[in-house]
Amino acid sequence: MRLTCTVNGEPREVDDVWPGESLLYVLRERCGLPGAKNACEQGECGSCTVYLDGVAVCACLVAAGQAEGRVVVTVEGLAPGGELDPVQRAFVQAGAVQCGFCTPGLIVAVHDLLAHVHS
Amino acid sequence: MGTLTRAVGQAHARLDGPDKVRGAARYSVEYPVENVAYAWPVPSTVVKGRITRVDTRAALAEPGVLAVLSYENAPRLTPAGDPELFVLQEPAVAYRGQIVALAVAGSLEAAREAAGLVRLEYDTWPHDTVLTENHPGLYQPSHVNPSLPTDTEIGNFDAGYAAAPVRVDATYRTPAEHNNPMEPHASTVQWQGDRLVVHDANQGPGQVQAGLATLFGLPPERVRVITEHVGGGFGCKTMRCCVVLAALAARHVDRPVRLALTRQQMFGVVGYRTPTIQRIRLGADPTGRLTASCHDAISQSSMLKEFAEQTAVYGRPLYAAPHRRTTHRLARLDVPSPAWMRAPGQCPGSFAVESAMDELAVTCGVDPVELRIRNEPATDPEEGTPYSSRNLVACLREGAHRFGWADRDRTPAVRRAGRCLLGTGVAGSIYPARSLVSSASAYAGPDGAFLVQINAVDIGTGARTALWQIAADELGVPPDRVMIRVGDTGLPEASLAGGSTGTASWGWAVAKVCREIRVQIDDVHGGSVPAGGVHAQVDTTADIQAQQTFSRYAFGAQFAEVRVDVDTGEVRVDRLLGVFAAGRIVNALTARSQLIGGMTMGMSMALLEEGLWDPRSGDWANHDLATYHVAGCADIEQIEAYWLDEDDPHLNPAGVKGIGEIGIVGTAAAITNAVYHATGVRVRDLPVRLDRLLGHRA
Ligand code: FES
Repeated sequence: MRLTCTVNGEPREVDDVWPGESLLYVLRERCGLPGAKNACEQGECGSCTVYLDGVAVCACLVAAGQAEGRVVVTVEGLAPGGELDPVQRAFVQAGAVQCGFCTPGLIVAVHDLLAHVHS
Repeated sequence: MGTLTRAVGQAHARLDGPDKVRGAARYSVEYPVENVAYAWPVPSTVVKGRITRVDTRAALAEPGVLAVLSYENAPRLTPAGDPELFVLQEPAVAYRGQIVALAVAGSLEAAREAAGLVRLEYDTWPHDTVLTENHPGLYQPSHVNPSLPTDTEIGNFDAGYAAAPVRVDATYRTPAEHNNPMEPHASTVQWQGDRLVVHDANQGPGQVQAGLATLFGLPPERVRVITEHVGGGFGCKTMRCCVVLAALAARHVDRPVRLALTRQQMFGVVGYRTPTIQRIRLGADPTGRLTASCHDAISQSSMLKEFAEQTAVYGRPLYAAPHRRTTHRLARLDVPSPAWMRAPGQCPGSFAVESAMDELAVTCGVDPVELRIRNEPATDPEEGTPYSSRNLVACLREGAHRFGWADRDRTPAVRRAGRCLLGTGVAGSIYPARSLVSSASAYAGPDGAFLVQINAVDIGTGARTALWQIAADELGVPPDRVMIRVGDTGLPEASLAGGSTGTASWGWAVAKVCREIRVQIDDVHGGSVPAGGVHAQVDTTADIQAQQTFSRYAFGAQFAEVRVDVDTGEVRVDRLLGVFAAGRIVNALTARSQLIGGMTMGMSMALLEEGLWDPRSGDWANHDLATYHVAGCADIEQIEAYWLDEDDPHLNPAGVKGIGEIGIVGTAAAITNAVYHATGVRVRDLPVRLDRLLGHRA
């Protein structure tokens, strides 16, 4: 099937999507956005966290088809243009990055958390 | 340059941080590769047996499927020492979960689907998978990991113990535990003619290069392994079957192949910490001075290979006692092969020894900090050698001071806050400080920039950044003029990331080559770099051979404060505090992360982690992150790591002891000792499950 959605501000049309595959798979394998990681594929670890219409979700638990017509933002889209988002900068400065594998998911989760605190 | 601030000791943010927080750091299956195919492993569904039929028809009929490999058709390998790497070569099955076939397809979904359609028939035999303290197969291995004596005896333990006025005799158990690095094992393999180019998640690219060269009958220089970023390892990312499977598939289908294990598959094939059964006997005088100590440790290995966890090694260099014995016995079972997991030996061993020391303190009515101080040896009690430095007592005192240990009431089960009982506990900690041979190169350009290269690997520890700091100081330039490259077998050969040896070993080669460059620039070229630049390469073989005999160890003291709900049995660790003496700390930021990471993993071991074995099916009952619990942020309240400044001249040029593992050593005992202090219940079997506390309710 064809999936049409917006990813990091860009309209995307992704072809040959298998209805059963996850949004995580679409992002990593079809959109060239490997920032979100697959570490458990069962919604336990959060390494795959992305925004779907502004809501932080585990992309491994979202079926590709559920993203049809919707807006996805991944860790790569948090701070376009090379600058770091304050959350990204804080992670680096605090030493909260080690192996870095769950880091993209944690960044999106903290970004989301702080957005809620401010509102 | 006299005013230059030294880079070593600074809290530099890690070099790879910005890429990692942007999602721009590339892991092993994330490099764009043309025409890549995907492989999906098929695990054995029987425990002990022999494949009698491989039916691949349904799998091959699936659109996009390129091949199904099994022992019948996989390219032949030459054994490379580790039988776990000799995959798809024989019909025999040694444990459930062993990889017995591999589906390869143009897409990941097709490979996954095909793997599920492979039909295997087996002859099977009864299996034996449960470790017990009187298992008839227990034997004395010739050595324990890595090459340490199996048994030791100093003095006469039996006589010393019989004569001791105070005795402790207790048996402790630790369950199987799984490393669970965040990144599952992953490889991308490309055959380029008769050359093999590999992106692989591992702790030793040089080890993987050598292994693949032997397995595929290639000269090592035709195998290139690139390991830029690794999502953790904790011991289970030494060379594993994943990369071999990918290479077999790539050769068979003549295309590049990617293979990433799933979390579930990892439980079967990447190693785990063996369960242990440990009997500790301590004899002491009434003041708690040890006269006799004995540690008998039992663990398991697989039928495929012998891995003998060095559990009883923990106490050999630690506390004084004139009469002492340690033994290891092993049973080979029809189980997956256990392997290294963060502080193998020392981690489970410390749980038993540091718990028994607490029991001795209770028996003697002595403060447990004071008890350890009373048993401080002047020299290594087994080797007789001096310590290069030993600051266990200083760690205990500093920790006690920071934690607020003074005036602690030793009476158990008397502090209550609402529904909870409160308690505090302490444990000692020790881990070997070793350096291994490595080489490094450096280049000074006429533009004032320096390039330092070494096939070290940063598995998340911060090694890349630490080496860069060491290089800058040795070169005597600001760090921003230095570039460091690691993680590629095209770079000078270096030891693997294991046993907390990385910075000590690689830092030695880096320091040496930078000094060499400095000498060339200053003495040969009169202080300026010529137009053609200056190049140097060194290795540390002679330096390491010339090391004097010392007992070299990092030490630590861990303190825990717990709260136990008397109705539910839930244990919360309100505070964890560790003080460590580990030589020079190169980077305060990454070091703190390593130490609190180790302590968190130790807390996880104490309260949560337990590989549950189902003897009937011969498999893990829990084999994912939903059912195998690993501590998360919400499990940690307050955690603090401190270190003492140690200037130990007998280590290596960087003066480091290694900090990757000491943080997990002793943590679990500090927590169970605190649980005892809170509740009066001594938990000797990890983890501290609710039933293990509630079972003791009056
Ligand atoms: S990969 Fe772990 S939650 Fe999605």
